[in-house]
Amino acid sequence: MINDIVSILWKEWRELFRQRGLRSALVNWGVMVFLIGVLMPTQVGAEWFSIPMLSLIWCWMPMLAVAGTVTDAFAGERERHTLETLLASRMPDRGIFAGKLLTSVLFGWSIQLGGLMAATITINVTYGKGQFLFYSLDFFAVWLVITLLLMTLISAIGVLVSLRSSTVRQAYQKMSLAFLALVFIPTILGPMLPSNMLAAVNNFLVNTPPVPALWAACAVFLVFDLGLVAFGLARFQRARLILD
Amino acid sequence: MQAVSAVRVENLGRDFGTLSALNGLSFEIPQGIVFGYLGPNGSGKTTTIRVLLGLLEPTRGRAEVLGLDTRSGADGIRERCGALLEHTGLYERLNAEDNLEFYGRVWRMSAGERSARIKELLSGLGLWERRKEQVGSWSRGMKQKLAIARAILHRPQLVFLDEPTAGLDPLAAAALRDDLAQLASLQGVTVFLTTHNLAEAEKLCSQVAVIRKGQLLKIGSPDELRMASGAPRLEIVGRNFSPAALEALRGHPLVSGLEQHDHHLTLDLKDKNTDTSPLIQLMVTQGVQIDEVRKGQASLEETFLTLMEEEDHD
Repeated sequence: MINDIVSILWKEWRELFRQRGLRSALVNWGVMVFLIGVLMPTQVGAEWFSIPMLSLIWCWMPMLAVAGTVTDAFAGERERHTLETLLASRMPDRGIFAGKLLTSVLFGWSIQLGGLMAATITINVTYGKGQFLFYSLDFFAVWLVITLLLMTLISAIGVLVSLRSSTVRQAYQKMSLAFLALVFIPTILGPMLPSNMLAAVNNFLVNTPPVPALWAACAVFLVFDLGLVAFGLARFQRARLILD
Repeated sequence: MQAVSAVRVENLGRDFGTLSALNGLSFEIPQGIVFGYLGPNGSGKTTTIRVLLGLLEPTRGRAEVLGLDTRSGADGIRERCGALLEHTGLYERLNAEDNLEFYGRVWRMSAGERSARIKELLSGLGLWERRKEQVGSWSRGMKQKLAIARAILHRPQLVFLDEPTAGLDPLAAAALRDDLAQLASLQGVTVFLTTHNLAEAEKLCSQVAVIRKGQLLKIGSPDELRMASGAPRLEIVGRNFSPAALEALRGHPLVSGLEQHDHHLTLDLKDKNTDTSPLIQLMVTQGVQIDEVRKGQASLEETFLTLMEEEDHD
Protein backbone atom coordinates (compact mmCIF):
# COMPACT_ATOMS: atom_id res chain seq x y z
CA MET A 1 0.00 0.00 0.00
CA ILE A 2 2.78 2.47 0.94
CA ASN A 3 4.62 1.61 -2.29
CA ASP A 4 1.45 2.22 -4.29
CA ILE A 5 0.92 5.63 -2.70
CA VAL A 6 4.56 6.55 -3.30
CA SER A 7 4.24 5.50 -6.96
CA ILE A 8 1.22 7.76 -7.46
CA LEU A 9 2.98 10.59 -5.61
CA TRP A 10 6.03 10.14 -7.83
CA LYS A 11 3.92 10.41 -10.96
CA GLU A 12 1.75 13.29 -9.74
CA TRP A 13 4.69 15.44 -8.66
CA ARG A 14 6.50 14.77 -11.90
CA GLU A 15 3.43 15.74 -13.88
CA LEU A 16 2.92 18.82 -11.74
CA PHE A 17 6.45 20.02 -12.40
CA ARG A 18 6.44 19.03 -16.06
CA GLN A 19 3.13 20.81 -16.70
CA ARG A 20 4.76 24.24 -16.90
CA GLY A 21 8.37 23.29 -16.53
CA LEU A 22 10.35 22.94 -13.32
CA ARG A 23 11.42 26.57 -13.19
CA SER A 24 7.89 27.88 -13.65
CA ALA A 25 6.53 25.47 -11.03
CA LEU A 26 9.17 26.57 -8.53
CA VAL A 27 8.45 30.22 -9.27
CA ASN A 28 4.72 29.67 -8.59
CA TRP A 29 5.53 27.87 -5.37
CA GLY A 30 8.07 30.54 -4.46
CA VAL A 31 5.59 33.39 -5.00
CA MET A 32 3.21 31.81 -2.49
CA VAL A 33 6.00 31.28 0.00
CA PHE A 34 7.16 34.87 -0.50
CA LEU A 35 3.69 36.25 0.17
CA ILE A 36 3.06 34.31 3.38
CA GLY A 37 6.67 34.07 4.51
CA VAL A 38 8.20 37.43 3.63
CA LEU A 39 5.70 40.08 2.57
CA MET A 40 3.02 39.57 5.22
CA PRO A 41 5.41 39.00 8.16
CA THR A 42 7.39 42.11 7.20
CA GLN A 43 4.22 44.18 7.30
CA VAL A 44 2.95 42.65 10.55
CA GLY A 45 6.31 42.73 12.37
CA ALA A 46 7.42 40.78 15.45
CA GLU A 47 3.77 40.21 16.36
CA TRP A 48 3.69 37.58 13.62
CA PHE A 49 4.99 35.16 16.24
CA SER A 50 3.66 36.77 19.43
CA ILE A 51 0.06 36.87 18.13
CA PRO A 52 0.20 33.55 16.29
CA MET A 53 -3.39 33.65 14.97
CA LEU A 54 -2.17 36.30 12.53
CA SER A 55 -0.18 33.76 10.57
CA LEU A 56 -2.96 31.18 10.63
CA ILE A 57 -5.34 33.57 8.89
CA TRP A 58 -3.08 33.42 5.84
CA CYS A 59 -3.69 29.71 5.52
CA TRP A 60 -6.29 30.50 2.92
CA MET A 61 -3.51 31.17 0.41
CA PRO A 62 -2.00 27.66 0.25
CA MET A 63 -5.56 26.34 0.46
CA LEU A 64 -6.42 28.33 -2.64
CA ALA A 65 -3.34 26.91 -4.38
CA VAL A 66 -4.46 23.40 -3.44
CA ALA A 67 -7.97 24.10 -4.71
CA GLY A 68 -6.45 25.06 -8.06
CA THR A 69 -4.39 21.90 -8.49
CA VAL A 70 -6.47 19.19 -6.83
CA THR A 71 -9.18 19.49 -9.49
CA ASP A 72 -6.80 17.74 -11.87
CA ALA A 73 -6.66 14.60 -9.73
CA PHE A 74 -9.32 12.48 -11.45
CA ALA A 75 -11.01 14.92 -13.84
CA GLY A 76 -7.62 15.57 -15.48
CA GLU A 77 -6.92 11.88 -15.90
CA ARG A 78 -10.40 11.39 -17.32
CA GLU A 79 -10.06 14.33 -19.69
CA ARG A 80 -6.67 13.16 -20.97
CA HIS A 81 -7.89 9.54 -21.32
CA THR A 82 -5.36 8.11 -18.88
CA LEU A 83 -7.81 7.10 -16.16
CA GLU A 84 -9.02 3.84 -17.68
CA THR A 85 -5.48 2.56 -18.21
CA LEU A 86 -4.64 3.40 -14.60
CA LEU A 87 -7.79 1.64 -13.41
CA ALA A 88 -6.96 -1.38 -15.57
CA SER A 89 -3.63 -1.74 -13.74
CA ARG A 90 -3.01 -3.65 -10.54
CA MET A 91 -3.02 -0.46 -8.48
CA PRO A 92 -5.56 -0.88 -5.65
CA ASP A 93 -8.38 1.63 -5.18
CA ARG A 94 -7.00 2.87 -1.87
CA GLY A 95 -3.55 3.36 -3.34
CA ILE A 96 -4.87 5.54 -6.15
CA PHE A 97 -7.18 7.53 -3.90
CA ALA A 98 -4.64 8.04 -1.12
CA GLY A 99 -1.89 8.92 -3.61
CA LYS A 100 -4.02 11.60 -5.24
CA LEU A 101 -5.11 12.99 -1.88
CA LEU A 102 -1.63 13.03 -0.41
CA THR A 103 -0.21 14.81 -3.46
CA SER A 104 -2.47 17.76 -2.80
CA VAL A 105 -2.02 17.73 0.95
CA LEU A 106 1.75 17.75 0.64
CA PHE A 107 1.65 20.44 -2.04
CA GLY A 108 -0.36 22.77 0.22
CA TRP A 109 1.55 21.88 3.34
CA SER A 110 4.90 22.41 1.63
CA ILE A 111 3.84 25.98 0.86
CA GLN A 112 2.78 26.39 4.46
CA LEU A 113 6.07 25.00 5.82
CA GLY A 114 8.09 26.95 3.28
CA GLY A 115 6.23 30.07 4.38
CA LEU A 116 6.98 29.33 8.03
CA MET A 117 10.68 28.91 7.33
CA ALA A 118 10.77 32.10 5.31
CA ALA A 119 8.83 33.97 8.03
CA THR A 120 11.23 32.76 10.71
CA ILE A 121 14.17 34.11 8.77
CA THR A 122 12.39 37.33 7.82
CA ILE A 123 11.18 38.16 11.33
CA ASN A 124 14.47 37.29 12.98
CA VAL A 125 16.57 39.22 10.48
CA THR A 126 14.28 42.24 10.57
CA TYR A 127 13.09 42.33 14.13
CA GLY A 128 15.24 39.81 16.05
CA LYS A 129 17.83 42.11 17.58
CA GLY A 130 19.93 39.14 18.59
CA GLN A 131 16.97 37.24 20.03
CA PHE A 132 15.43 34.20 18.36
CA LEU A 133 11.75 34.95 17.76
CA PHE A 134 9.39 32.04 17.11
CA TYR A 135 6.04 30.57 18.21
CA SER A 136 5.76 29.04 21.63
CA LEU A 137 6.35 25.32 21.44
CA ASP A 138 2.72 24.40 22.24
CA PHE A 139 1.43 26.77 19.58
CA PHE A 140 3.93 25.46 17.06
CA ALA A 141 2.64 21.91 17.67
CA VAL A 142 -0.98 22.91 17.12
CA TRP A 143 0.02 25.05 14.13
CA LEU A 144 1.61 22.04 12.45
CA VAL A 145 -1.43 19.86 13.07
CA ILE A 146 -4.12 22.36 12.17
CA THR A 147 -2.45 23.44 8.92
CA LEU A 148 -2.08 19.78 7.94
CA LEU A 149 -5.74 19.13 8.72
CA LEU A 150 -6.85 22.19 6.77
CA MET A 151 -4.85 21.09 3.73
CA THR A 152 -6.38 17.64 4.09
CA LEU A 153 -9.85 19.16 4.30
CA ILE A 154 -9.53 21.18 1.10
CA SER A 155 -7.76 18.29 -0.67
CA ALA A 156 -10.43 15.78 0.30
CA ILE A 157 -13.17 18.11 -0.93
CA GLY A 158 -11.18 18.65 -4.13
CA VAL A 159 -10.60 14.95 -4.77
CA LEU A 160 -14.30 14.28 -4.25
CA VAL A 161 -15.25 17.05 -6.67
CA SER A 162 -12.68 15.83 -9.18
CA LEU A 163 -13.95 12.28 -8.87
CA ARG A 164 -17.40 13.35 -10.05
CA SER A 165 -16.40 15.85 -12.75
CA SER A 166 -15.88 15.03 -16.39
CA THR A 167 -13.46 17.87 -17.10
CA VAL A 168 -10.89 19.84 -15.14
CA ARG A 169 -12.75 23.03 -15.97
CA GLN A 170 -15.97 21.68 -14.50
CA ALA A 171 -14.13 20.48 -11.41
CA TYR A 172 -12.44 23.86 -11.01
CA GLN A 173 -15.76 25.69 -11.20
CA LYS A 174 -17.29 23.43 -8.57
CA MET A 175 -14.19 23.75 -6.42
CA SER A 176 -14.24 27.54 -6.63
CA LEU A 177 -17.79 27.53 -5.30
CA ALA A 178 -16.82 25.12 -2.53
CA PHE A 179 -13.85 27.29 -1.62
CA LEU A 180 -15.97 30.41 -1.55
CA ALA A 181 -18.45 28.65 0.69
CA LEU A 182 -15.74 27.34 2.99
CA VAL A 183 -13.70 30.50 3.41
CA PHE A 184 -15.85 33.48 2.58
CA ILE A 185 -19.36 32.61 3.71
CA PRO A 186 -18.39 32.62 7.41
CA THR A 187 -16.66 35.98 6.82
CA ILE A 188 -19.74 37.44 5.16
CA LEU A 189 -22.37 35.83 7.35
CA GLY A 190 -20.47 36.32 10.62
CA PRO A 191 -21.18 40.06 10.97
CA MET A 192 -24.85 39.42 10.17
CA LEU A 193 -25.34 37.38 13.34
CA PRO A 194 -27.47 38.96 16.14
CA SER A 195 -25.39 41.34 18.26
CA ASN A 196 -25.64 39.24 21.44
CA MET A 197 -24.44 36.16 19.57
CA LEU A 198 -21.60 38.15 18.00
CA ALA A 199 -20.62 39.42 21.44
CA ALA A 200 -20.58 35.87 22.79
CA VAL A 201 -18.40 34.67 19.89
CA ASN A 202 -16.10 37.64 20.32
CA ASN A 203 -15.92 37.02 24.04
CA PHE A 204 -15.08 33.38 23.42
CA LEU A 205 -12.35 34.24 20.92
CA VAL A 206 -10.77 36.89 23.17
CA ASN A 207 -10.95 35.00 26.42
CA THR A 208 -10.29 31.44 25.36
CA PRO A 209 -6.61 30.57 25.33
CA PRO A 210 -5.75 30.06 21.65
CA VAL A 211 -3.93 26.77 21.96
CA PRO A 212 -6.76 24.73 23.58
CA ALA A 213 -9.26 26.37 21.22
CA LEU A 214 -7.15 25.38 18.25
CA TRP A 215 -6.82 21.82 19.51
CA ALA A 216 -10.61 21.72 19.75
CA ALA A 217 -10.78 23.01 16.17
CA CYS A 218 -8.29 20.30 15.17
CA ALA A 219 -10.63 17.67 16.59
CA VAL A 220 -13.50 19.07 14.52
CA PHE A 221 -11.39 19.20 11.35
CA LEU A 222 -10.15 15.67 11.98
CA VAL A 223 -13.73 14.40 12.12
CA PHE A 224 -14.56 16.23 8.88
CA ASP A 225 -11.39 14.96 7.20
CA LEU A 226 -11.98 11.36 8.17
CA GLY A 227 -15.61 11.60 7.09
CA LEU A 228 -14.67 13.05 3.71
CA VAL A 229 -11.94 10.46 3.11
CA ALA A 230 -14.30 7.61 4.04
CA PHE A 231 -16.99 9.08 1.77
CA GLY A 232 -14.48 9.49 -1.06
CA LEU A 233 -13.30 5.90 -0.75
CA ALA A 234 -16.89 4.70 -0.82
CA ARG A 235 -17.50 6.73 -3.99
CA PHE A 236 -14.37 5.38 -5.64
CA GLN A 237 -15.78 2.60 -7.80
CA ARG A 238 -13.88 1.56 -10.91
CA ALA A 239 -17.00 0.74 -12.92
CA ARG A 240 -18.56 4.08 -12.08
CA LEU A 241 -15.40 6.00 -12.87
CA ILE A 242 -15.09 4.32 -16.27
CA LEU A 243 -18.71 4.78 -17.24
CA ASP A 244 -18.71 8.44 -16.11
CA MET B 1 -4.27 -31.96 -14.82
CA GLN B 2 -6.08 -29.83 -17.37
CA ALA B 3 -4.41 -26.51 -18.18
CA VAL B 4 -6.33 -23.41 -17.13
CA SER B 5 -7.79 -21.49 -20.06
CA ALA B 6 -6.63 -17.94 -20.53
CA VAL B 7 -10.25 -16.84 -20.81
CA ARG B 8 -13.47 -18.75 -20.26
CA VAL B 9 -16.77 -16.98 -20.77
CA GLU B 10 -20.14 -18.56 -20.07
CA ASN B 11 -23.42 -17.01 -21.15
CA LEU B 12 -21.97 -13.58 -20.42
CA GLY B 13 -24.29 -10.60 -20.52
CA ARG B 14 -23.91 -6.94 -19.65
CA ASP B 15 -26.71 -4.39 -19.78
CA PHE B 16 -26.55 -0.62 -19.61
CA GLY B 17 -30.08 0.37 -18.65
CA THR B 18 -32.32 -1.07 -21.32
CA LEU B 19 -29.42 -1.60 -23.75
CA SER B 20 -27.90 -5.04 -23.83
CA ALA B 21 -24.23 -4.54 -24.74
CA LEU B 22 -23.32 -8.22 -24.35
CA ASN B 23 -25.73 -11.09 -24.55
CA GLY B 24 -25.18 -14.82 -24.10
CA LEU B 25 -21.48 -14.78 -24.97
CA SER B 26 -19.75 -18.11 -24.48
CA PHE B 27 -16.23 -18.95 -25.60
CA GLU B 28 -12.91 -20.21 -24.35
CA ILE B 29 -9.38 -19.12 -25.21
CA PRO B 30 -6.46 -21.47 -24.58
CA GLN B 31 -3.23 -20.00 -23.21
CA GLY B 32 -0.38 -18.88 -25.43
CA ILE B 33 -2.28 -17.97 -28.59
CA VAL B 34 -3.15 -14.76 -30.37
CA PHE B 35 -6.92 -14.47 -30.24
CA GLY B 36 -8.67 -12.09 -32.60
CA TYR B 37 -11.89 -10.47 -31.46
CA LEU B 38 -13.65 -8.97 -34.43
CA GLY B 39 -16.78 -6.95 -34.74
CA PRO B 40 -18.08 -3.68 -36.13
CA ASN B 41 -18.07 -0.49 -34.05
CA GLY B 42 -20.42 -0.74 -31.07
CA SER B 43 -20.54 -4.53 -31.20
CA GLY B 44 -19.37 -4.94 -27.59
CA LYS B 45 -15.62 -5.50 -28.00
CA THR B 46 -14.56 -2.82 -25.50
CA THR B 47 -17.27 -3.87 -23.04
CA THR B 48 -16.00 -7.44 -23.22
CA ILE B 49 -12.46 -6.30 -22.39
CA ARG B 50 -13.74 -4.17 -19.51
CA VAL B 51 -15.67 -7.11 -18.10
CA LEU B 52 -12.70 -9.46 -18.50
CA LEU B 53 -10.45 -7.00 -16.68
CA GLY B 54 -12.96 -6.81 -13.84
CA LEU B 55 -13.65 -3.14 -14.48
CA LEU B 56 -17.33 -3.83 -15.14
CA GLU B 57 -19.40 -6.54 -13.51
CA PRO B 58 -21.38 -8.84 -15.77
CA THR B 59 -25.14 -8.55 -15.54
CA ARG B 60 -25.55 -12.23 -16.40
CA GLY B 61 -23.34 -15.26 -16.71
CA ARG B 62 -19.72 -15.41 -15.68
CA ALA B 63 -16.22 -14.93 -16.98
CA GLU B 64 -12.93 -16.38 -15.82
CA VAL B 65 -9.54 -14.98 -16.72
CA LEU B 66 -6.47 -17.11 -15.99
CA GLY B 67 -8.64 -19.20 -13.69
CA LEU B 68 -9.92 -16.21 -11.69
CA ASP B 69 -13.54 -15.13 -11.62
CA THR B 70 -13.95 -11.54 -12.80
CA ARG B 71 -16.37 -10.79 -9.95
CA SER B 72 -14.30 -12.08 -7.06
CA GLY B 73 -10.76 -12.08 -8.44
CA ALA B 74 -10.58 -8.79 -10.35
CA ASP B 75 -7.48 -7.58 -8.49
CA GLY B 76 -5.66 -10.82 -9.27
CA ILE B 77 -6.67 -10.59 -12.92
CA ARG B 78 -5.35 -7.06 -13.27
CA GLU B 79 -2.15 -8.14 -11.52
CA ARG B 80 -1.51 -10.76 -14.21
CA CYS B 81 -2.72 -8.88 -17.30
CA GLY B 82 -1.56 -5.96 -19.39
CA ALA B 83 -3.80 -3.73 -21.46
CA LEU B 84 -3.74 -1.26 -24.27
CA LEU B 85 -7.26 0.08 -24.35
CA GLU B 86 -9.16 2.35 -26.70
CA HIS B 87 -6.84 5.27 -25.89
CA THR B 88 -3.09 4.96 -25.43
CA GLY B 89 -3.43 6.08 -21.80
CA LEU B 90 -0.02 7.76 -21.88
CA TYR B 91 0.85 10.74 -19.71
CA GLU B 92 1.65 13.25 -22.40
CA ARG B 93 3.38 15.72 -20.08
CA LEU B 94 5.88 13.04 -19.09
CA ASN B 95 8.63 11.66 -21.26
CA ALA B 96 8.64 8.10 -22.59
CA GLU B 97 10.97 6.78 -19.94
CA ASP B 98 8.90 8.28 -17.10
CA ASN B 99 5.72 6.76 -18.52
CA LEU B 100 7.26 3.29 -18.38
CA GLU B 101 9.01 4.04 -15.09
CA PHE B 102 5.66 4.87 -13.50
CA TYR B 103 3.97 1.67 -14.65
CA GLY B 104 7.07 -0.31 -13.67
CA ARG B 105 6.60 1.07 -10.15
CA VAL B 106 2.87 0.31 -10.32
CA TRP B 107 3.74 -3.32 -11.06
CA ARG B 108 6.30 -3.32 -8.26
CA MET B 109 9.26 -4.12 -10.46
CA SER B 110 12.61 -3.54 -8.78
CA ALA B 111 14.65 -0.52 -9.89
CA GLY B 112 17.18 -2.70 -11.71
CA GLU B 113 14.50 -4.77 -13.39
CA ARG B 114 12.65 -1.62 -14.44
CA SER B 115 15.60 0.07 -16.05
CA ALA B 116 16.72 -3.08 -17.88
CA ARG B 117 13.23 -3.84 -19.17
CA ILE B 118 12.60 -0.21 -20.21
CA LYS B 119 15.85 -0.21 -22.17
CA GLU B 120 15.04 -3.56 -23.76
CA LEU B 121 11.56 -2.48 -24.87
CA LEU B 122 12.41 1.03 -26.03
CA SER B 123 15.47 -0.20 -27.93
CA GLY B 124 13.39 -2.95 -29.55
CA LEU B 125 10.82 -0.43 -30.70
CA GLY B 126 13.42 2.07 -31.90
CA LEU B 127 12.46 4.64 -29.27
CA TRP B 128 15.47 4.52 -26.96
CA GLU B 129 17.12 7.62 -28.40
CA ARG B 130 13.92 9.58 -27.87
CA ARG B 131 13.17 8.40 -24.37
CA LYS B 132 13.65 11.86 -22.82
CA GLU B 133 11.17 13.56 -25.14
CA GLN B 134 7.75 14.57 -23.88
CA VAL B 135 5.26 12.05 -25.24
CA GLY B 136 2.77 14.79 -26.14
CA SER B 137 5.02 15.87 -29.01
CA TRP B 138 5.12 12.40 -30.57
CA SER B 139 3.26 11.03 -33.58
CA ARG B 140 0.32 8.70 -33.07
CA GLY B 141 2.33 5.74 -34.28
CA MET B 142 5.13 6.38 -31.78
CA LYS B 143 2.63 6.77 -28.96
CA GLN B 144 0.99 3.52 -29.96
CA LYS B 145 4.33 1.71 -29.83
CA LEU B 146 5.06 3.15 -26.39
CA ALA B 147 1.61 2.15 -25.15
CA ILE B 148 2.24 -1.41 -26.30
CA ALA B 149 5.58 -1.39 -24.49
CA ARG B 150 3.75 -0.27 -21.36
CA ALA B 151 1.18 -3.06 -21.73
CA ILE B 152 3.86 -5.78 -21.82
CA LEU B 153 6.37 -4.07 -19.50
CA HIS B 154 5.69 -6.35 -16.53
CA ARG B 155 5.61 -9.53 -18.64
CA PRO B 156 1.90 -10.24 -18.21
CA GLN B 157 0.43 -13.70 -18.85
CA LEU B 158 -2.40 -12.20 -20.87
CA VAL B 159 -2.42 -8.94 -22.74
CA PHE B 160 -5.48 -7.12 -24.08
CA LEU B 161 -4.74 -5.01 -27.12
CA ASP B 162 -7.51 -2.85 -28.52
CA GLU B 163 -6.63 -1.92 -32.10
CA PRO B 164 -2.86 -2.03 -31.48
CA THR B 165 -1.77 -1.31 -35.04
CA ALA B 166 -4.13 1.62 -35.59
CA GLY B 167 -2.06 4.61 -36.61
CA LEU B 168 1.08 2.65 -37.35
CA ASP B 169 2.74 2.82 -40.75
CA PRO B 170 2.77 -0.49 -42.70
CA LEU B 171 6.37 -1.28 -41.75
CA ALA B 172 5.80 -0.61 -38.07
CA ALA B 173 2.54 -2.57 -38.16
CA ALA B 174 4.28 -5.56 -39.73
CA ALA B 175 7.08 -5.38 -37.16
CA LEU B 176 4.55 -5.22 -34.37
CA ARG B 177 2.68 -8.22 -35.76
CA ASP B 178 5.94 -10.17 -35.69
CA ASP B 179 6.54 -9.08 -32.09
CA LEU B 180 3.06 -10.15 -31.06
CA ALA B 181 3.41 -13.50 -32.79
CA GLN B 182 6.71 -14.03 -30.95
CA LEU B 183 5.19 -12.96 -27.68
CA ALA B 184 2.69 -15.79 -27.99
CA SER B 185 4.91 -18.46 -29.53
CA LEU B 186 8.14 -17.90 -27.58
CA GLN B 187 6.97 -16.47 -24.27
CA GLY B 188 3.60 -18.21 -24.04
CA VAL B 189 1.75 -14.92 -23.54
CA THR B 190 -1.89 -14.97 -24.57
CA VAL B 191 -2.80 -11.99 -26.73
CA PHE B 192 -6.42 -10.86 -26.86
CA LEU B 193 -6.55 -8.61 -29.88
CA THR B 194 -9.37 -6.52 -31.25
CA THR B 195 -8.89 -5.18 -34.72
CA HIS B 196 -10.74 -3.92 -37.75
CA ASN B 197 -7.88 -5.05 -39.93
CA LEU B 198 -9.07 -8.47 -41.02
CA ALA B 199 -5.95 -9.22 -43.04
CA GLU B 200 -4.00 -8.65 -39.85
CA ALA B 201 -6.25 -11.01 -37.90
CA GLU B 202 -5.88 -13.60 -40.65
CA LYS B 203 -2.08 -13.44 -40.49
CA LEU B 204 -1.69 -13.23 -36.75
CA CYS B 205 -4.50 -15.01 -34.98
CA SER B 206 -4.81 -18.73 -34.47
CA GLN B 207 -8.39 -18.25 -33.25
CA VAL B 208 -10.90 -15.64 -34.17
CA ALA B 209 -14.31 -14.72 -32.76
CA VAL B 210 -16.78 -12.52 -34.60
CA ILE B 211 -19.36 -10.65 -32.54
CA ARG B 212 -22.16 -8.32 -33.40
CA LYS B 213 -24.63 -6.51 -31.16
CA GLY B 214 -23.05 -8.24 -28.19
CA GLN B 215 -23.63 -11.72 -29.55
CA LEU B 216 -21.13 -14.25 -30.77
CA LEU B 217 -21.63 -15.06 -34.44
CA LYS B 218 -18.73 -17.41 -35.10
CA ILE B 219 -15.58 -18.66 -33.43
CA GLY B 220 -12.74 -20.81 -34.74
CA SER B 221 -9.50 -20.62 -36.64
CA PRO B 222 -9.49 -18.23 -39.61
CA ASP B 223 -9.53 -21.31 -41.90
CA GLU B 224 -12.51 -22.81 -40.12
CA LEU B 225 -14.39 -19.55 -40.36
CA ARG B 226 -13.68 -19.21 -44.06
CA MET B 227 -14.74 -22.81 -44.66
CA ALA B 228 -17.91 -22.42 -42.66
CA SER B 229 -18.98 -19.12 -44.11
CA GLY B 230 -17.47 -18.77 -47.55
CA ALA B 231 -17.97 -21.21 -50.43
CA PRO B 232 -14.87 -22.77 -52.01
CA ARG B 233 -14.09 -20.99 -55.23
CA LEU B 234 -12.25 -21.25 -58.49
CA GLU B 235 -10.62 -18.12 -59.83
CA ILE B 236 -9.78 -17.98 -63.51
CA VAL B 237 -7.76 -15.30 -65.27
CA GLY B 238 -8.27 -15.41 -69.01
CA ARG B 239 -10.06 -14.00 -72.09
CA ASN B 240 -13.09 -14.67 -74.33
CA PHE B 241 -15.58 -15.23 -71.54
CA SER B 242 -18.47 -15.40 -74.02
CA PRO B 243 -22.11 -15.23 -72.85
CA ALA B 244 -22.55 -18.83 -74.01
CA ALA B 245 -19.58 -20.00 -71.94
CA LEU B 246 -20.83 -18.14 -68.87
CA GLU B 247 -24.32 -19.57 -69.37
CA ALA B 248 -22.92 -23.09 -69.61
CA LEU B 249 -20.89 -22.63 -66.44
CA ARG B 250 -23.81 -21.12 -64.57
CA GLY B 251 -25.90 -24.19 -65.34
CA HIS B 252 -23.16 -26.66 -64.40
CA PRO B 253 -24.08 -28.88 -61.40
CA LEU B 254 -20.72 -28.20 -59.66
CA VAL B 255 -21.20 -24.43 -59.70
CA SER B 256 -23.35 -22.51 -57.21
CA GLY B 257 -22.52 -18.99 -58.36
CA LEU B 258 -20.49 -17.00 -60.81
CA GLU B 259 -19.02 -13.53 -61.06
CA GLN B 260 -17.03 -12.03 -63.94
CA HIS B 261 -15.12 -8.75 -64.24
CA ASP B 262 -12.97 -8.11 -67.31
CA HIS B 263 -10.39 -10.90 -67.40
CA HIS B 264 -11.34 -12.39 -64.03
CA LEU B 265 -13.93 -15.06 -63.49
CA THR B 266 -14.82 -16.38 -60.04
CA LEU B 267 -16.84 -19.58 -59.71
CA ASP B 268 -18.39 -20.49 -56.34
CA LEU B 269 -18.22 -24.26 -56.01
CA LYS B 270 -20.73 -26.41 -54.18
CA ASP B 271 -18.11 -28.67 -52.63
CA LYS B 272 -14.53 -27.92 -51.64
CA ASN B 273 -13.41 -31.39 -52.78
CA THR B 274 -14.81 -30.89 -56.25
CA ASP B 275 -12.67 -32.10 -59.15
CA THR B 276 -12.55 -28.95 -61.22
CA SER B 277 -11.19 -30.47 -64.46
CA PRO B 278 -14.67 -30.80 -66.07
CA LEU B 279 -15.14 -27.06 -65.60
CA ILE B 280 -11.79 -26.26 -67.22
CA GLN B 281 -12.65 -28.60 -70.07
CA LEU B 282 -16.01 -26.92 -70.54
CA MET B 283 -14.39 -23.48 -70.73
CA VAL B 284 -11.80 -24.64 -73.25
CA THR B 285 -14.50 -26.17 -75.47
CA GLN B 286 -16.43 -22.88 -75.23
CA GLY B 287 -13.36 -21.02 -76.56
CA VAL B 288 -12.19 -19.41 -73.32
CA GLN B 289 -8.44 -18.69 -73.32
CA ILE B 290 -7.19 -19.53 -69.83
CA ASP B 291 -4.04 -17.85 -68.49
CA GLU B 292 -4.25 -18.81 -64.81
CA VAL B 293 -6.42 -20.97 -62.54
CA ARG B 294 -6.51 -20.67 -58.73
CA LYS B 295 -8.53 -22.70 -56.30
CA GLY B 296 -9.21 -20.90 -53.06
CA GLN B 297 -11.43 -19.75 -50.25
CA ALA B 298 -13.05 -16.47 -49.42
CA SER B 299 -10.76 -14.17 -47.44
CA LEU B 300 -11.51 -13.52 -43.78
CA GLU B 301 -12.71 -10.09 -44.79
CA GLU B 302 -15.25 -11.58 -47.20
CA THR B 303 -16.27 -14.10 -44.56
CA PHE B 304 -16.72 -11.27 -42.06
CA LEU B 305 -18.84 -9.27 -44.49
CA THR B 306 -20.93 -12.35 -45.29
CA LEU B 307 -21.55 -12.90 -41.60
CA MET B 308 -22.63 -9.30 -41.17
CA GLU B 309 -24.96 -9.53 -44.16
CA GLU B 310 -26.49 -12.76 -42.89
CA GLU B 311 -27.15 -11.04 -39.57
CA ASP B 312 -28.79 -8.11 -41.34
CA HIS B 313 -31.10 -10.51 -43.18
CA ASP B 314 -31.98 -12.32 -39.94
